[in-house]
Amino acid sequence: MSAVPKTAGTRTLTFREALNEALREEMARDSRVILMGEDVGRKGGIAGVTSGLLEQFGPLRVIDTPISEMAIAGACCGAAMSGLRPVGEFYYCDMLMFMADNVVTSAARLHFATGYRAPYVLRGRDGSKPGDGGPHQDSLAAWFAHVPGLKVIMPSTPADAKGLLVSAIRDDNPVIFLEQIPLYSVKGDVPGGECVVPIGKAEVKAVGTDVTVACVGRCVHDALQARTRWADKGVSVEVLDLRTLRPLDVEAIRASVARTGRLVTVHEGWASYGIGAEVVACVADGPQLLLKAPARRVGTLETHIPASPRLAAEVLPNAKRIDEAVAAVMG
Amino acid sequence: MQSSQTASKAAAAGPVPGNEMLLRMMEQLVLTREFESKCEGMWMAGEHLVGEYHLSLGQEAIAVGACAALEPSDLICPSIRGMGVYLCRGTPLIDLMAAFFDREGAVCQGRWAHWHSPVPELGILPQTGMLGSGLVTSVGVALAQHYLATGKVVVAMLGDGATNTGYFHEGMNFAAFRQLPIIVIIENNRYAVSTPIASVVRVKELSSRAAGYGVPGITIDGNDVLRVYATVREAVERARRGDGPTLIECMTYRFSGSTVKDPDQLRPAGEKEAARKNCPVARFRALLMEKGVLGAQEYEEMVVAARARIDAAEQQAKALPPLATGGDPLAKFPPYAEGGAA
Repeated sequence: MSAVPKTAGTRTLTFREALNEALREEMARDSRVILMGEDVGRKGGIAGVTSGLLEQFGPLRVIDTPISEMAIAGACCGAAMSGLRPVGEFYYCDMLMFMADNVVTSAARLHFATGYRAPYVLRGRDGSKPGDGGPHQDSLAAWFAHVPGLKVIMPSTPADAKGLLVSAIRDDNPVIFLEQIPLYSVKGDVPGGECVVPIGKAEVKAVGTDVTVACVGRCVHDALQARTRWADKGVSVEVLDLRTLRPLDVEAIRASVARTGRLVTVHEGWASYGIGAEVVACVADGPQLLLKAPARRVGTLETHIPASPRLAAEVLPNAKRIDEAVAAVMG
Repeated sequence: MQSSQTASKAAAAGPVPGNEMLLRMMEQLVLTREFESKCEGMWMAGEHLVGEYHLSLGQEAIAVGACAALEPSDLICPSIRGMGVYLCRGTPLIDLMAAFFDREGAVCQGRWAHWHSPVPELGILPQTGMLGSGLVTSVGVALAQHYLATGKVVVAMLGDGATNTGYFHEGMNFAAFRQLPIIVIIENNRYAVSTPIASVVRVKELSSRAAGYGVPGITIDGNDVLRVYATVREAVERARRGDGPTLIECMTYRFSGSTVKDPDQLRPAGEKEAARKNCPVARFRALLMEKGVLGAQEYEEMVVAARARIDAAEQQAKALPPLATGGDPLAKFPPYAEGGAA
């Protein structure tokens, strides 16, 4: 894994700890930042991301809410319109469907139409739960990335998680911040001092010359593993971490594909009308013909994710399907 | 009329408004009545006008009474039938007319439906056609007032139909558990478009739902502007002292269809006629004349003055240029606020 320069203050943190640090530092820096959501206070969040913040910042700023996602999103929106910088937590991205009305028909339109702004962040768990069968495994990022006025972020490393959450809180627009469940315990270097990663910038996580794998979230790690497997076969894979899904870093995608001439996309969530579809489209309609071979998309298969972990693994993006896609574009 | 945790009897007695305020309320009732009568006429005449206007004719006392109970710095989210709020808060008539005619200067510059448009400088909050959504955003606005200790309160208005949304339940409970400075006003005109509220709920009074949230609830005559004023005023005082929300159900009836395009064939004719005999404007006029606060001549002058303002606004709006098209639409309609990472 590339990219985090070692500095004097660099520490190794989990993804969860990095998110917690982002919230803690932003709350200390800016009294307008408040948190709300189910179990964010006494429990410290269902994924532990808000641990210790109630104790440090008190119940006026860290609000344990009832199970009321529509009210959480609405309250974040109204508070944001009134000058605060709320961060609302959802349990799973499925709950974004309850929040979607506020996000889409209110928050995303306010600036365009009314002079109000809604600088709030809705953040929470997204995507599959390996080994833990059950509901709540979808990744609905593309639904929200479809909507102008929103920003949609899905980090893959602790450093990106921290830096992008800081940027999300400081951004003047509504932001959907998606934390993929398999990543919470992933460790990585996080720079000391202020850590800001710009929204809207993809990052090459590993360079390559033969094929670009454009990916996001936990699939970045799957792509890096694929890169190692393919290196043994003499194929050089470039891993491009999209990091932000809206606004999408079209320039970085085209620049990478201009180098490699081949494209595979990998992400959770359905590929049709999905993240991969958008990535392929922005290469296909670019000013130049960049592809030497047809692009391939790897996403969740076009069905629903079974509860059984064994069955789910077949439906979700996996090594086998990534390898098939790379093989196909390499011809 | 009151549920278990009642609004106190003070509301019935109420603070007594002075003559100046009484006359201002009368003027606002007249302005709303005349403005909307004008609008109804324009739409019925088949002029090409923007939007599916939701007239509040017959319900004017609720907006007028509620707005009179607020400080100008307080915040208010109108219902989708909210023209009275716009007028009481002083939205320039020409801005409203400009929206109907699709002209420059329209509220929200034609970017948001005129019957939902926020007017930030007048403390009018946004809502959408997703009924009940304005309540939860208003709850967030109230949360911010509390957190920032501004001393401001928030009024959220909604129709009887919107009380059956999930938004209503979540918003009421959220406001209640945080004891937020918000007053929720139900304008119960007895119909959700064509559906009688009594046919889709089992409670007699929607305000009785307040008990389920542990907040005071009260049902009042929404066509009695002084009753609305006194009840809202008491709830505002409660909210301002930090004692949390109040649910106020104002009983009323709309004179016209749900929107200017609604043929309104399903409400009984007798019911509509009876409602016109319970006109909130006529009732208040009679009261003020009885009290000797208002003379017949003075009232006529009010009506004439309101009509003159409205007609002038109409003419001025029609003379405005159409909202400009051309150029790069994305440059004109930027979806993102500038600033980003600070």
